[in-house]
Amino acid sequence: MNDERFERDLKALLRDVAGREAPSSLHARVAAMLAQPPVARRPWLGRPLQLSLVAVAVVAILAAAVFVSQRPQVGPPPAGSPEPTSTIEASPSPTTEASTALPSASVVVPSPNSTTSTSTPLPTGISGMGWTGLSWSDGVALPSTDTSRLVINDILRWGSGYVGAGFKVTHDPVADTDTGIAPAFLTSHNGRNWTISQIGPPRQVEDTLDVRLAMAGHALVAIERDSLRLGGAPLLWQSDDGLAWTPIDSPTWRAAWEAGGHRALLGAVASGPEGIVAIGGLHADWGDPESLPVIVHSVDGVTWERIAVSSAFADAYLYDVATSAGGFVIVGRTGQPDPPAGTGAGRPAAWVSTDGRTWVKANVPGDSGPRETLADGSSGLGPRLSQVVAGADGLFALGLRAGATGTYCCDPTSGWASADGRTWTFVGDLGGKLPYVDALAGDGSHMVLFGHTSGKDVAVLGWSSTDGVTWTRLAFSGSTAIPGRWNSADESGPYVLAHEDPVHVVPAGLVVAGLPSAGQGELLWFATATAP
Amino acid sequence: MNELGGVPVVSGVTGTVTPLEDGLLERLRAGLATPGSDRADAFASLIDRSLDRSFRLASVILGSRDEAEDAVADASLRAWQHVASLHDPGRFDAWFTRIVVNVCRDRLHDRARRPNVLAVDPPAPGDDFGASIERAALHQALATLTAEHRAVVALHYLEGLTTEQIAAQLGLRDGTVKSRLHYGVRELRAAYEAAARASEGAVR
Repeated sequence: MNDERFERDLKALLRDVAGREAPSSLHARVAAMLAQPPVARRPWLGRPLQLSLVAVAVVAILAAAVFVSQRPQVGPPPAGSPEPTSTIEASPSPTTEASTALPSASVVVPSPNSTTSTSTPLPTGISGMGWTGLSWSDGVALPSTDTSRLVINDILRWGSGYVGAGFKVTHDPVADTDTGIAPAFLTSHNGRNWTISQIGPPRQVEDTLDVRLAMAGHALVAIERDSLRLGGAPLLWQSDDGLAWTPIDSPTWRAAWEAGGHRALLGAVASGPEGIVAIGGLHADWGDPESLPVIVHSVDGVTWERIAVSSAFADAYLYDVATSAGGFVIVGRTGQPDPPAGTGAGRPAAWVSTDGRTWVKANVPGDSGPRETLADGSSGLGPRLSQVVAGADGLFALGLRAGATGTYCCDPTSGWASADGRTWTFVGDLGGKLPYVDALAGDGSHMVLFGHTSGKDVAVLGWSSTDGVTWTRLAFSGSTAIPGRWNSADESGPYVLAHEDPVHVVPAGLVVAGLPSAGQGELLWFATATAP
Repeated sequence: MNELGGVPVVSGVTGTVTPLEDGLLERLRAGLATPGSDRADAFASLIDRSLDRSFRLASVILGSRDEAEDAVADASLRAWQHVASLHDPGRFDAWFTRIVVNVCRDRLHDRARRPNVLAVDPPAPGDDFGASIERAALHQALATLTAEHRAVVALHYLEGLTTEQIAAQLGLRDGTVKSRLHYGVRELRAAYEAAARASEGAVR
């Protein structure tokens, strides 16, 4: 079937259905509406319901006041830091039974006030001890109300506990629209019970906030990855204890993201013993004609250096970065941008560095898939490497091939593995077993891969590996709510792990933040890993 | 390590809505903050830029231009009632788009018991018989998609927004938009290809 013909007909149909302009009668109706003063309630909202809402609001305010008054002090926030919020522990979802906490043997209550807490070294893992199963517990609700919800983007092992970062969204239930978003920081001693340590100042509601965590020596750094921000670098925060966070005004960080009059955008962050590496760049999707990879390095999270990219990064597009025992690995692709409605025309690529500053291009072969014929008659190699994770015995990178929609999504994926990041091996197309890959995660010890089958009633499947070459299908047990079957047609049913939900590998297993179904509040799900 | 989807797209740069100029932005921000005619004027300026696109989007979601007009009018009223909560006029487009989609979704739910079939347009001039059959099949398949899938398909193929721009407009994760686009197009394509095969068979 001719792609161009299908797309042409689809666009023509949509134009036929939609027309071009709103009718004059609609303009007239809006103009008449504006002649009346705005009424801050819905016309159908009856008085009893209004009173109920007012009563609920009053109760909520009083409850919040009680929370604030009872908030245990975790140390005074630094001057000028954003307003701290009440401490709220995640509670079991009212719709599910209480779940089993992660084994206490693997997590120890941190001493957050300790100023001598050392950064956790990268887990070394145990070679050959791959996981064979996951025992899921029921989800635990993050603090959520009709008017606000909390989302966790990133979790970092810190000392003997965990630090989480994400955002808090305030919601107007009447207009059914979000009204505010603010970065949020949390701590947990066991990965299960979380305490909000700080809520940052609100951002614009339409900003797609994504907060990433990194370690810089003895300190923590948080980076707000804001996909809409035009006027400045990603925002930086720093914390010595995971409890009190201070915005950092770093001129070197700001300068690093200014690229020849353009504003480069952050793509991914990784941290290790040699510091923090953040990658990003301009991208053809933004209307820029050329690639412009950006690599930024810091030892302390305050002073940053934009690394001058060598010819090894010619025509490069960077998508992810990870740390391994050998240092840092960046993955992406080289080659021309993908045509808007075509398949990938670049080739997979990776770069390695032992210190985050000096980079060498790795040897990455192409895949075994069909080759696209480019407009100039040459042959493209297709997939890009979009994600990379590290296990105890090697690295694994996920390749995505652009599909008919022109986006890297939902089409057969392929994998590459490497023991050292310098030489990669194509390990095969995953499409035969796993048409749709949803999540890839690793902690330097174990790597997990989740995806779902094709069809409308899909099943979520998982694999585990320590070297990226040998993958073991994970047997699921415990709660049946996750990973449940998900109806892709109407998006009904639980779809945790089927929607790019954040998956975090911890020593005992996994922590997954996800939605039990569309429109519900975010839950945290736990899986205890079993080994042979 | 989580998939960050590559580096994101700046909303509004390549879409059909022209970004507000700084000076205009400031005037509108001041206007929205001032109850009365200033606020109404600022709101009128903003919504005037969005009506055409919102109408097209609602038409695709609802499959009816008449109902789309009602839906966008309802959405305009809802937006006007809550405009005081919008502090940054630069965000109006995404804010209003979400309201339009929500209103359309509510309307689809209300009529869930009724048939939801779009009218089939007559073949466009120049179309051959086979193409019109395929177009009709496409049309019918579009009517079977959910409101959420139709919204994503319309914003991508009609308005030319990237998945990341759509994610920002609708407040969704990029992966969710990609997934909806993928499944939506897959359904449309299956219907289209089936009609094409049937058409070829009929010609033979």
